[in-house]
Amino acid sequence: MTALPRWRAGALLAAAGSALLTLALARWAARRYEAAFARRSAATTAAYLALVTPPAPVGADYSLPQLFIQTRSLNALPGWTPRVEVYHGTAPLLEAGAPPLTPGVLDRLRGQAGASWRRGVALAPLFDRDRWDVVGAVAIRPVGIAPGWLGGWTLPALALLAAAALGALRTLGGEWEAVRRALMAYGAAGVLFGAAAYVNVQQAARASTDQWLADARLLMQEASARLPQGRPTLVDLAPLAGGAQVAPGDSATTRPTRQQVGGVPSAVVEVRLSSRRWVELRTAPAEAGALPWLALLLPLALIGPLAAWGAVWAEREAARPQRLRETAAAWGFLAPATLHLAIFSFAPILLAVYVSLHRWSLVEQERPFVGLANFDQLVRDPAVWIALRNTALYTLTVPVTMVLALGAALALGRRTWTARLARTAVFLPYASSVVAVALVWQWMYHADFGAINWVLSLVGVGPVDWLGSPNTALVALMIVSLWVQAGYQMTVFLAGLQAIPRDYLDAARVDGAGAWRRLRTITLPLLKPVTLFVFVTGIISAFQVFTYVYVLTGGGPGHATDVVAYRLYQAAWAFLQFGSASALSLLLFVVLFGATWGQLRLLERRVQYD
Amino acid sequence: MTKAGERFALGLVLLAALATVLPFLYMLATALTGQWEAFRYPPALIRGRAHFENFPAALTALPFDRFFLNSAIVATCVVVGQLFTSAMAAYAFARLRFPGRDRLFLGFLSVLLVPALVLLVPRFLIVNALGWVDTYAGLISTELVSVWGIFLLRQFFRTIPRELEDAARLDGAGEWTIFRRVVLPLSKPALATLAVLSFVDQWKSFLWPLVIARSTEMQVVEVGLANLHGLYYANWPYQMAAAVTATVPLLLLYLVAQRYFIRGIQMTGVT
Repeated sequence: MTALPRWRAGALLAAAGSALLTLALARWAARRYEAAFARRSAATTAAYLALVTPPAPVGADYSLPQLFIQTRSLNALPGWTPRVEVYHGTAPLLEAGAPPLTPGVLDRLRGQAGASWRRGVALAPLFDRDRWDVVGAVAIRPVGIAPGWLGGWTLPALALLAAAALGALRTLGGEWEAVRRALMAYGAAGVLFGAAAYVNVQQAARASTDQWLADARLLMQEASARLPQGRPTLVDLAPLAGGAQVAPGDSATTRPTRQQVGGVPSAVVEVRLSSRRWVELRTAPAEAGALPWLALLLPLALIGPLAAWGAVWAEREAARPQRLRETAAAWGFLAPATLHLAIFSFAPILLAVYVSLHRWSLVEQERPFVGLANFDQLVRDPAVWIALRNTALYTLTVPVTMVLALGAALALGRRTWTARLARTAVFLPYASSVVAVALVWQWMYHADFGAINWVLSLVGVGPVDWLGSPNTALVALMIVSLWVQAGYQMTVFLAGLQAIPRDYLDAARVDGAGAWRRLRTITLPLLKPVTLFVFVTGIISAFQVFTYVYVLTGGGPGHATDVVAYRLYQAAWAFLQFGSASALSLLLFVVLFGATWGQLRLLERRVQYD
Repeated sequence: MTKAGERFALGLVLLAALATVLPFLYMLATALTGQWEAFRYPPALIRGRAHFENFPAALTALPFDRFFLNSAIVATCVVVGQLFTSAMAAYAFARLRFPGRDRLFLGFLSVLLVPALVLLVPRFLIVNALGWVDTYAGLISTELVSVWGIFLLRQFFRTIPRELEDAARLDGAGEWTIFRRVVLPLSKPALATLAVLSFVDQWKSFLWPLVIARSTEMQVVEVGLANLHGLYYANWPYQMAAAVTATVPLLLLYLVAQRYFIRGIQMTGVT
């Protein structure tokens, strides 16, 4: 058993690495929020200084002594946390002995909008009074945003994790029940540890918003107190607000709070400009967008437990190298498909859930968390209900098509050349381009020159405006679908019929059963699994009909042919509301779950394991 | 059935077959009609000479040569990718023993619980984040694995007698060699079936290319045809000429590979 220590060492290494990586990622994420705060704060501070500092005697520059005084008093402001330094040109103002900026830095600040972040300091350009040239820079060193490496609950969680990991590794090779329990404990500790690390990130995110709101509030109040001409207007204050909204407010608590503003969670603080004048500063809370970090932190924290589990398994299997080899080979064979499904099938479902809880547009930068607002909007939207109704009506094509297809399969099951020719013909629509089929039907449906109305006129009916009238448009689409799907379904039914043993039918015939009776008592019961399959897959695909609607009617006239897929397409690509579109996707998922579940069960029945 | 009833049923079905073929003939006839003659009423098919010039005119109204190339590239890449991933995964599921295999297979199948439409938006967001919108990578990447393909090939691989592999194993062949030299050559019909089905599926796919391809150069035939419909709304001969051209490759494939086609569809429903 020389392999024992090797597996154990590997598992130990993985455990340590997993814990360390989780901590590092959490720290990095928190630092990112810290940097975001500092950059925003630097821009606000620069705007504040530009507002309150009197001009130099000549030019658009500021009075240097005044700039010095204003900066000094900033650091002395009660409640102000970050350390501020101002560079006039490249020279530091407060700490004359500190190294100056390099000229290149100023040039870069000129070129970019907003502040930069380097080595724990955010630098924002200080524009002259004409907002034309950059005359210096404001440096912000944040304090107290990101918790330390082991801040918050991470230290106790880490201790727990270490104890669980050592416990699990000690039981390795022992009794299976004990090993299993130890591994479970290790896994639970891993989850806890990942969650603790996430809480730190979440807190850093929250602190970055709160701290900025608090600081911006201080600066706004300070500006209104200092401005010589008295009350600053909202336009004056707008640069201080950065990307946040300034709205009229009222006296309330002066600490940042979380509120729903127009259904969107916002971070809000009240700012007192004078005894009578209050404004409200609103911004998107950073912690609302922190959830993706959990999706990264948890897997990292679980690498350790998974490695331990792998070590346990490998030790147990070490005695059987063939099995070990086969497992390794299997995972090699499975790797491409598994990876692809993880990225393009499983991750999208989680992403859909995440996006559906946000107001999510490709063009807007802000993607605030809105809770269930998207779903709420959907169920209140009459167009969605109309689309659901139309889709449900559209699925009625499935049973109708099935009856026709089964009839065709019964009639064409023979081996004569006419039957073969007819089979080929009936299948043609399914084997041809979908859009081409849609186009020829649109032409045939043409109200004035279409072939269908001409045929109808021969028997004295019509003309019917097939696609232009709300009464017939959906039926017209259903006819196209029937025309296409019949061949496909017939083909599946044919296979099902061939699988029925001839002896049964012959025996029934000998017993004197008629054709109808044979069909009802033998063929249909034996065909049941196939029928179910055709029905279930038919419903699933009918619910997702899109191309015919897009080409033939565009959902119209009115909403007469608006279906779920078209609504979803419109929501996402016409209105760019991806949050709403995701919510609709999930709604469809729920509506179709019965059918897809049936499909899975039917397939499972066909699968044999050995 | 009685003789008369049988003849009646057959007649009915032949009528249905005729009904499926007539729209195709109407498509072809309109494609060969002059632009204004198409608006005569009652509709008369091809009066006077056949207007073959509709075809080059319609196909250059939009760059259909490029569309066909795109469709061919995308469909071919997807077919190759699906054969590759499906065959490998199916081999592991059908032939190798490893812990959790059956549960994992069920996990793969559970992807079928999720309708394709549900994946549309999040997949688009992922592809967009990868910067693949309006590229071949965006058109192809999401389609490279087919759970149906894995399912079908697994079913097929299980019918191959194990003795053949055991002989190779005795000769010291590894799993990869057995897969390449024994299983794949014996599975040619199944692979051809899957290839034909996934090629046609890909060629017919509309919604994904519609949202992924933005520029004219990246459009596939189906979307190009829909765009032509929007641009030449009243010019039915042009639209029909393009429609005929778009249908011909698929119909040719169907007529040539009918056997695989039918078997593939029957395998999904019955086997």
